[in-house]
Amino acid sequence: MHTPPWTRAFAIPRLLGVLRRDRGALVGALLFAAVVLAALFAGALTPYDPLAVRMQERLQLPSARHLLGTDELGRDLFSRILHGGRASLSVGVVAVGIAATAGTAMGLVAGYYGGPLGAVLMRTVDGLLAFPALILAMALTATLGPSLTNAAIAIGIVTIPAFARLAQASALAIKEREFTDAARACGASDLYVLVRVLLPNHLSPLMVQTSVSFANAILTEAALSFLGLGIQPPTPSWGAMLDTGRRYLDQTAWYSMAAGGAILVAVLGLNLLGDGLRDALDPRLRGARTARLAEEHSG
Amino acid sequence: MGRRSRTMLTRRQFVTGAAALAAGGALRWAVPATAAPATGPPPARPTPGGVLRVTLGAEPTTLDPHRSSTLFDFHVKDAIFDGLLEDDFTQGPKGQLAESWESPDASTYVFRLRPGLRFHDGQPLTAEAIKFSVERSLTQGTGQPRVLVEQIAATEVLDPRTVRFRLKAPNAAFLLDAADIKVVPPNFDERNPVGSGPFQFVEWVRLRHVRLRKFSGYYQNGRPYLDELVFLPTPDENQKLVLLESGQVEFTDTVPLPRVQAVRQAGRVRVHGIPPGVSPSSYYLLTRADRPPLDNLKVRQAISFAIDRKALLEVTFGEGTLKSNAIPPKHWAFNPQSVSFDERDLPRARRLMSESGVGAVTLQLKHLTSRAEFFPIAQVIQANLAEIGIRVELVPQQIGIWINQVLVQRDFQLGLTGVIPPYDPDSILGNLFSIRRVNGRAIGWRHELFEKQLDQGRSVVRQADRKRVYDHAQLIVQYDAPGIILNERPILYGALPSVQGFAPDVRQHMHFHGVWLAR
Repeated sequence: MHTPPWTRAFAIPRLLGVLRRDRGALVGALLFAAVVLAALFAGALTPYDPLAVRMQERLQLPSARHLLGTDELGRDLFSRILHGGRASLSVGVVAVGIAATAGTAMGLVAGYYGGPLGAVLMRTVDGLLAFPALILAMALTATLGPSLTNAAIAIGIVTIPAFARLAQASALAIKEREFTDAARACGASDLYVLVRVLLPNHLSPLMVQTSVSFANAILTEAALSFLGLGIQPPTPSWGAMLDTGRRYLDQTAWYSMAAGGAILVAVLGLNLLGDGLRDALDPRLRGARTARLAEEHSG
Repeated sequence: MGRRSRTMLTRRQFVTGAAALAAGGALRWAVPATAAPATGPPPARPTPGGVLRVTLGAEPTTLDPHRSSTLFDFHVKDAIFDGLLEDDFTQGPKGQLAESWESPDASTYVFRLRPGLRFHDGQPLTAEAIKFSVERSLTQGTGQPRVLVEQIAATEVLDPRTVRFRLKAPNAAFLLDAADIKVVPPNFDERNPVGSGPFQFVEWVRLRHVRLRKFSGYYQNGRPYLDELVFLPTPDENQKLVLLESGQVEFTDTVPLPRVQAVRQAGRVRVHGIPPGVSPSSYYLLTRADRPPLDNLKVRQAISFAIDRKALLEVTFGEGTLKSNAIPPKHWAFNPQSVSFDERDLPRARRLMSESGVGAVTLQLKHLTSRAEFFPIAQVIQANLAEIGIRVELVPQQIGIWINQVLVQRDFQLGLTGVIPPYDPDSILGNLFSIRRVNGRAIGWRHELFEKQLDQGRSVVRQADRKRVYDHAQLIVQYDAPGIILNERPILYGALPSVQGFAPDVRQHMHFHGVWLAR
């Protein structure tokens, strides 16, 4: 199949190469994959219903029966951690989906057209950016009402600026490149240029930003749930478990540690992966790294 | 929620609660022997002196005894101000400022003051001060203190030591109210509150402490034993315990439930509390009983049968008592023949649900956040009701919002709170269920016969007669389940072993005039 030259920058095939070369990224990918698999197969991995209250078994320490012990209502913590992963991941997917779609569209359009339209779009984004993200997310969930969906929407909205600014920067650079001129010279419409030229060439930074924002979304969701504004009981949520667990630190420190550990693994995995991708895909950084290595080895 | 029912209270609650407060005759306030606080073997002779530092869950809102509204206001006010009678009635009425009293009929009460009473600033306390305090409560008071005196038609000074109250309507339980009318001098100034209680005001440093010192002119010889009493606002329960264990305070107004057992075992700190089954303190689930689906009797019964109160007892770590009746099991008015929901009956709950004709339904449960255990209790209810096809959405609310939405706006389906009505069965049943009072108004449950029983209970005097009335009232209210009682809410205090002579009372009031420190 013929591929026009301006779409060749497509980055996915590089991903495997990155993982092969960068051990950090590989570890990150494995950690994150483990979280995803655990969440997907939560039902099969643990015999316990995460919602089943068994008061006579409450606040138990880890044992063969309950790998991470039980919570204040006798529910199996391991099971709740795995199921909590589903909530965290789905918030991540929805939030980043919203932010990446809206943000990238706004950024590309603003960067490509510039002028008053670009100014309006980017000042809107700046307005969003002016609020501390967590505070804005709290205000939004408080207004919309606490729920998983609303938390995801709120986090998505506060994440838009990161994607928008990145896309605008890409668009500004890419629209000056020869292959963009070439596409236009071939009679490509604005829409074609935006979708088939600018977007594919923006995919590398977009992937990096996605991994980092996904990690942030999980953290923000945990923070909202910790504050009672996120996922509502009895649905398990890492942030809410962290909050409840701290009240029972005396009885079982495992409670909070398990919830905190789950957040740590997911976020660390995504950040390692994101770092690896950035190192590999960002031409400036790649250059810097080479230069640094050259310096180190020259003396 | 009533006169001094608090924990979760507001003025509004008081208002109605207090209005409610009528009851009892010249009753013998029979309470089982277990009600006597068990604080170990009788201590040696009290030694005077020392400072007692006490944590308070929150800063008091005012030290004006006629405007107090929170439990914390009451804790401080009880130390500075005395009333005509002591306010713990579990052992029967005991005189405080009054040395004797009589009631020719249920609308007239005459009190004779002790001789030689003085305020902290040295001016004599006479019948005029009683009259002034009643009038001040009426004109400048708010909430419960004001409602208490609204029933009084006239206050007459018969001589410097005798005062007579004429009530607008008969109230056989007026003595209980008289105990809560705190007495202040005519030149009372809120900034330097002067009373006649065991401790006198020294200073109030906002967010730091309220400092009181011994009133050497107190009417009880030798009391108080302490030189100083200091209240330290400390919102965090665990922090309170740290302060206590490290000797930075001698007394805490609560003990975090998850840690009670460990604290008892460690033995460095003593846990004081009310023996189980005596206090009318309860966790209380209000239902909006005049609107579908909770206007359906069978749905309410199904809910009460579906809730696993044994599991709830685990939530409070075994503290408190299993109960589903507002009248505590060891109370003289308790009726064992009325419907009990103590034992969970899931099959019956499911049957009632299907008979009710109400299909799968979602109910919102608004619960308080003021105590850590409300959330797990709400979650147990949520899990229990899921088994009978009721989906429950939990809405945690701070106390001010909860009171406004549930009690004032009546914008709720299920509401979870904690209550401590006064000890009289009229107050207990009336404050929780009567349409004429706050909680009952929120619930919206109208039952003429029940209301008539309450009226009758106020008009008869002999305890045996009253018991028959309240037996009947319990049959009605337990069958109809307009509000659902979920076990006794434990009342616990922490104290260093050196703290002697503390007697917890069933209404969660703290009295320190008999407390002393062993050396």
